[in-house]
Amino acid sequence: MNIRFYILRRVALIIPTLVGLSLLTFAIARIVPGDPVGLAAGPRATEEIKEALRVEFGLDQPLPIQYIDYISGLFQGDWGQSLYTRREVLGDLRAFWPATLELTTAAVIIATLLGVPAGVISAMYRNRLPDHVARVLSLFFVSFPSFWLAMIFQTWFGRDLGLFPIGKRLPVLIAPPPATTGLFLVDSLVQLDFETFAVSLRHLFIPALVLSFGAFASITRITRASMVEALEKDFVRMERAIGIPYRIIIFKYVLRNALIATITVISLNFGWLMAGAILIETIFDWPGLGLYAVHASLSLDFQPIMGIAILYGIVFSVVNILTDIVYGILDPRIRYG
Amino acid sequence: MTDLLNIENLHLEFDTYDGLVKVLAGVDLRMRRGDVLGLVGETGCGKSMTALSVPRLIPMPPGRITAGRVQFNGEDILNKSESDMEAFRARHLGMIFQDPVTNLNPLFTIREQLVDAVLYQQAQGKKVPGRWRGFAPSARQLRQDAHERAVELMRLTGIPDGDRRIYDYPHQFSGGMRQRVLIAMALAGDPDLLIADEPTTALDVTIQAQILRLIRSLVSQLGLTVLLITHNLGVVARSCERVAVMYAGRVVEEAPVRELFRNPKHPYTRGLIAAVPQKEVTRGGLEGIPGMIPNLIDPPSGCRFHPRCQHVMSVCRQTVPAPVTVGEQHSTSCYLYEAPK
Repeated sequence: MNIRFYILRRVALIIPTLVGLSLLTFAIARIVPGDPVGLAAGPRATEEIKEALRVEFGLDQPLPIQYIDYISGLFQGDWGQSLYTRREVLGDLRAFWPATLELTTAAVIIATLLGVPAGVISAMYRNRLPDHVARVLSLFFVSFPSFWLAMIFQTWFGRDLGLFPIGKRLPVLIAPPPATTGLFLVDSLVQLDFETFAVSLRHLFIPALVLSFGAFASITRITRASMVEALEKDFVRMERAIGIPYRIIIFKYVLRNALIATITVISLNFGWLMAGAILIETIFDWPGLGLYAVHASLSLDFQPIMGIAILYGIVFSVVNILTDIVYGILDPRIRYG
Repeated sequence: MTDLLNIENLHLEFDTYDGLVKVLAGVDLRMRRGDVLGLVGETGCGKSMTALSVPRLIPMPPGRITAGRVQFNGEDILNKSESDMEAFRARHLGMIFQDPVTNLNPLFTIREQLVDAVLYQQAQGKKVPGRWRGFAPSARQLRQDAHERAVELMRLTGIPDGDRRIYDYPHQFSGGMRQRVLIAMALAGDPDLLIADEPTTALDVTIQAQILRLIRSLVSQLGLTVLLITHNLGVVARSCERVAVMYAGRVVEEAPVRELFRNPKHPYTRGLIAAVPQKEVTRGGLEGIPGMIPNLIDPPSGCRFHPRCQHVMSVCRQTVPAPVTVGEQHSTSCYLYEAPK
């Protein structure tokens, strides 16, 4: 089967996935005890005010009707609005999501760039000093809570050493680059504004580094494990026996065999980090989706909750498809169909 | 003329949870250039470990060579550095293994693997311009030449359509074809010695015959020196000139093939030959060797075969017999043939 057809089919399959996801989220958001309207209108609101709000947001309708209304709105580009701020959910997502995307992507890149070599070295020097160092490091990073590390790093690098800013994406006095993608690094490069690029890179570095630690640990561990497994394969002995240098065997022939498992972990981490960025965003005052999501769920603001769930659903599905395509690039035995 | 390969009194032990396994206990083996030597014995007798000691691919630890030496062209290889070993393997050795399915890397095309084999074996430990630096004209020429050599090797090993099939992946080849690819890789640098470790065991009988024929024709075409390891006496009879029989970590008998089959001396060799099915025997006629292969953690004292031997004498339990010459180029380690003192 043809790869283009495969991708089309996978993309089409996102839709039923999202329907399921939206049903589930919708049900959960409504079943949770508590009265969103009461919370939104405030303690002193009269019954009439609450009733008016209910009618405005369609809460007086039966649940199935509400769901259908919501979904049909979704397809027309109307993602609903917040009960509190009255702002369009889609607009809010556009404003906040790029910050989270930038942070998560940077964290995944850092984790991969550090984790894969650490795993390879660990496997090459199995049970010797470099291996022990890498294992202790990754154990350290998974064991310490990231918010604690975040504050330590903020204190050291931000306050004591003054090397990096303490928080936010940009200083107050620098205007964000004109939003094409919302990713400051990309936007400033597009504008050839290298100063803004450098400044936002410095702002990004520490939060992304701290966020990457958990992913670093799991990427290191899985790379080590699959490298060790691949090093035991018969072809490694064959390649050594006929005189191919060990360096080439490791970095060319064995690494590709090990990377398949690593790619899986990297893509899973991408999803987890996006959901787990909330703490880091809070500590570094990073105006991302995490904070937005926390506010929305604490106040049972159901339209933003739905919006976030659907956005993450799309992101997860797309990352999954990309991962499957990368599998096929790495391993010629995988056929699409 | 110095021997091409000279293994002398090689002792090898393996550390395991159950104890120290004395895998090799004084292996002696000599090969001259042009020899085709079969090394036979039961599973676990140490044939493969003897073979792997030449490219020094025995995992150490847990393995440990406690005595003996391995000389190649008069040069001691047990105390070479690892990087010298890499160059040594590239320059002098080719090796093929049992299972052609697992011995090819599944993720790379035949071209990738074969061209690398050519490049690194010809470079003999020197630097090869990498793929990304390979745009310089000289490097491109080098790769082009290596590609042509790879196609030539495929033709030599009898793979049809080499210039087209070189772009295929291993899973697109049959088992026999993969073994041919592996032979091509082993031969890429014109090795002085080809070590074939059970090269036909994992293949169908018809394919076995083809691979053996290929090895024989390569021997006559290229003047290869081959160390063929197998547990199949039929394979030895068809492909080798000389045979060494191993039992429990020692070579017990060595002779030219015809001589060994006509006139086996060591009781173990006799048992082995008697255990080969004959055409004439139709029922109940197969003879085995009574007993089991010994536990090498606590091997029998003296001659390791003595608990299973019909001719056992008291001296066999006490000391290890030394090889004695019993015919032309025929020697065996057994007290039955000891010259009376």
